[in-house]
Amino acid sequence: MKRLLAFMVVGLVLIGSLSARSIGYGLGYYGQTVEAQPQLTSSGVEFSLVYKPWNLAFANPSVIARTSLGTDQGGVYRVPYLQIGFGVDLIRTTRHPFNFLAHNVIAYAPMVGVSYSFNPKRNMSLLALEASPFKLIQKDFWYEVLSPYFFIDMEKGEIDSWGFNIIRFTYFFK
Amino acid sequence: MRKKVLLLSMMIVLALPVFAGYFDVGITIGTNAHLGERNLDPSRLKLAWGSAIGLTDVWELDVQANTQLVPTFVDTTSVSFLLQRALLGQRSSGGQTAGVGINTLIGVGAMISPYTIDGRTTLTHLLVSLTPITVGSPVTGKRERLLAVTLAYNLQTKQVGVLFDLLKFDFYVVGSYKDYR
Repeated sequence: MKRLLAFMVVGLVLIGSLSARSIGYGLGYYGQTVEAQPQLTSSGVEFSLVYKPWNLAFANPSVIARTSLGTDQGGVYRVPYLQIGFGVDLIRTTRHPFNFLAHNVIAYAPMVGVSYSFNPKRNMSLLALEASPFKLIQKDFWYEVLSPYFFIDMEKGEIDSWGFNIIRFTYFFK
Repeated sequence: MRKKVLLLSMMIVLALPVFAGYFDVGITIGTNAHLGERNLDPSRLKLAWGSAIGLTDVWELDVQANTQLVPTFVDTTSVSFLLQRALLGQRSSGGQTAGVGINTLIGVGAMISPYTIDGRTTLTHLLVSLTPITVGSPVTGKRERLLAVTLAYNLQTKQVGVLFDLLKFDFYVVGSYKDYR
């Protein structure tokens, strides 16, 4: 009986998280340097889809798919990456020095992420590491500023490309 | 030299009443892109930072540094000075009243940059700027400026480039509602 009750409580908690807004889309402004081929250095708009099943105060995970569209140094339109991976909000707190940035109280939730990334132009698979040290969140939104990322060539064991998302907004609609 | 300093001091003191009641200072942070002069400035992503200084209820001075982040991290920086006028009403009410929340800015100015043929940092561009939408005001403490387009005439090459600021935030440290309590 106790075991059944415990299962029911856990089940209710898990179902409860499903009613929270957990699916969102994002728009960002990226710039990226390709060390191996500088002419492919580009900047433009980034699109993302996010699924975050829980709202944990610590180590809150999310699944993130990203792609981007920009122009390279020759003005040619490129899709520099297609990505899928995980992000983890290390902590969520409203006690932080960035509340003056928003009209209402907002939570601070720095994130780190790791993804599989594919560069279609170069037909190349890379490991993507990213950080969002300035990530502020509300119930429906993520606001990220100056988020650096690195693409690592696992075969060579070196940084292939790096860049920033200077600003990114993610809206959770469901 | 002393005469010049004295004259300058008098001018500043005498000019203060013109600004009386409306002075505000905001810290600016946002994005910038320099288009149309790739041969002089190969930057792909720039951080805009600086200050928005309210001079009157409709005029402001924006001092903005644009620092390259990509392709070279923290490389060249340009500094622009824009005298801007609000077109849709008072940019600040100078009191506790929130005032106009949405506005448009138009302005002229100049830019100091290393975007010259020899790479020397000097006065390089004359600027004409339009910010179609601003949301917020100094009184509310925050303002967003969207889609600012600035035509930049290069005095050396006689070319016209474009400065495009997708989004900028102004956080007011002087002249917000907190100062009118």
